[in-house]
Amino acid sequence: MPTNPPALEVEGLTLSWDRTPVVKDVSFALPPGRIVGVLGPNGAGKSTMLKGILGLMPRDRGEVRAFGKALNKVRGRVVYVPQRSAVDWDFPVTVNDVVLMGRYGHLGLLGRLRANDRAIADDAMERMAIADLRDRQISELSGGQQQRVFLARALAQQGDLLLMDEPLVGVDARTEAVIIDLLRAERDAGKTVLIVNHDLNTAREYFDDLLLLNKTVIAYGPSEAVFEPEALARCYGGQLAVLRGADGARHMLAG
Amino acid sequence: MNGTEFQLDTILQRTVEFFTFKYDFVATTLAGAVLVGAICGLLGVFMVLRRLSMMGDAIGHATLPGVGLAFLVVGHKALAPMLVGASATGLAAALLVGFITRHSRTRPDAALGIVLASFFGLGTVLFSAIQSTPSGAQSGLNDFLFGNAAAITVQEVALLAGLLLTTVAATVALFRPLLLSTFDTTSATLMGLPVRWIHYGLMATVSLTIVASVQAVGVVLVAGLIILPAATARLLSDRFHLNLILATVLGALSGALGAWLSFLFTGFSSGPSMVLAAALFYALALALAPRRGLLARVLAAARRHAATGASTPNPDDDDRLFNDQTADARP
Repeated sequence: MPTNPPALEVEGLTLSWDRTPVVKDVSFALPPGRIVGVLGPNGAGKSTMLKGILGLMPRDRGEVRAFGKALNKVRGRVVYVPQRSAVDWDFPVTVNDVVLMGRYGHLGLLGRLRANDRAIADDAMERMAIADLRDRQISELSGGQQQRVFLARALAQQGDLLLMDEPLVGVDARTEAVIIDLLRAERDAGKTVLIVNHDLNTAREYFDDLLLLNKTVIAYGPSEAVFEPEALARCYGGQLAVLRGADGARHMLAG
Repeated sequence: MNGTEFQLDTILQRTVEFFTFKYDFVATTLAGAVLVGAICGLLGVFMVLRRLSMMGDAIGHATLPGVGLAFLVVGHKALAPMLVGASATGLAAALLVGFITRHSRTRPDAALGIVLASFFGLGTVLFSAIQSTPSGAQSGLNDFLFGNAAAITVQEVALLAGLLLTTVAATVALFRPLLLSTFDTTSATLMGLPVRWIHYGLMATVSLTIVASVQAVGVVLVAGLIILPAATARLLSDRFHLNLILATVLGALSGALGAWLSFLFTGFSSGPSMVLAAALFYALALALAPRRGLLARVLAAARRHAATGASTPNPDDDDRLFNDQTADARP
């Protein structure tokens, strides 16, 4: 047994919706302590891949291990941050209630929250700069604040592998900065982050490694190596336009 | 006593008779109606927040053929066989909705409609057949359509009390798993909570509750008693536990009011009376609830209008909700 198993290993993952394959033969391994961005055009199967990894949909084929073990053996170490639209924001709960939910997995079926759980949730809200919103009902928040609530709940879970589905979509600049700071702090603490994202312009700046996905893995490796026009063109096909700005910087637009 | 007596003194006299339990059956009626309202109100919060409101309607209607079948088999009106029959067809309907949704292109709302109509159609045909027999015409089976709280027996009250106690105990013990699996099923699953069992447990409890409630409210309107108190509570509170408590209390009050109304005006079925009482609470909350009510919103808008008309617009006076949003969006 290796001394340091990968945080996440995916082998030959194949998934379909209604018998139409959406993700084909995806294999990769994430070493611990990296922020990995998953990029790809719309319909490339990015969110589906996350669901398949987590066992939220049936797999046609493929194996997934986290920290060298089957996923259901390490539930407490794996944290999923769903898309913001996954829940009903009109639900009668406060910010504090939702962040405390991050502790429920540690409580079991009949457990009660202890002072320690509340302290962990308080700390998570502090780090995501939503402590002053703790008693707000969650519909009274902006999109960025709602995303930070999800992130605070994920922090409260205290996992070692974070799988995030488009946490930067539709959020304000401040939220984006808070989230990126958080991810770097988590990585520096040895945690691993797999993050589905859309924006090509920030990809090299935000992510240590990139995984280009279009139904299958197009390229995977350190951002500097993967982020080059040929690989991007293979991933995005005709949906990619590269604009050269006046300052010589390249701006990538993906449709 | 007939339904045309609307004089005030008669109403007062009948009200006193009702709430002082002048007749033996009144205490049973009132207890049954309050219990039915309370438990439907409590479970309704979960059903409404899980977007399963109409599932209650389908299960309610689907208990009718079970009651009819039980009568045909046993030959007279008896509690135990009817509970068994109603549970069987009610649960079958709930499972069938899930089966159709998973294994066909029919969407959940259509699946609910299909199951509700088919089971209710079958129940109605069975009842027509039963009514045409000499023993059936006297059986009081019609009570199952719109409810007759006065016909509630002591056994049924005991059953309802047991059901309410069990549900309250389970809700308190499993409060957090219930909350998380209702708010975010996916995360609850990933955190290792038994989401599937919670769902089935809830559906089984709701089915049993509906079965035990149809004598009082009838199959046609039992869904109203599940949806209305929960919807009213949601207008009055932003906290989950307060929603549960408020809906339970509002359901109990609707039950009491409905039983009283159907006692006052002979010929008022108790089901429609209870549902109308619940609807009245909902209408009041819709109009007058603090912050969320229509009146509060109109007043807030008028205040804003007055403020902007009188002086320069002051963003701090604007709806508190959107303040942070704009502040947040600034780079």
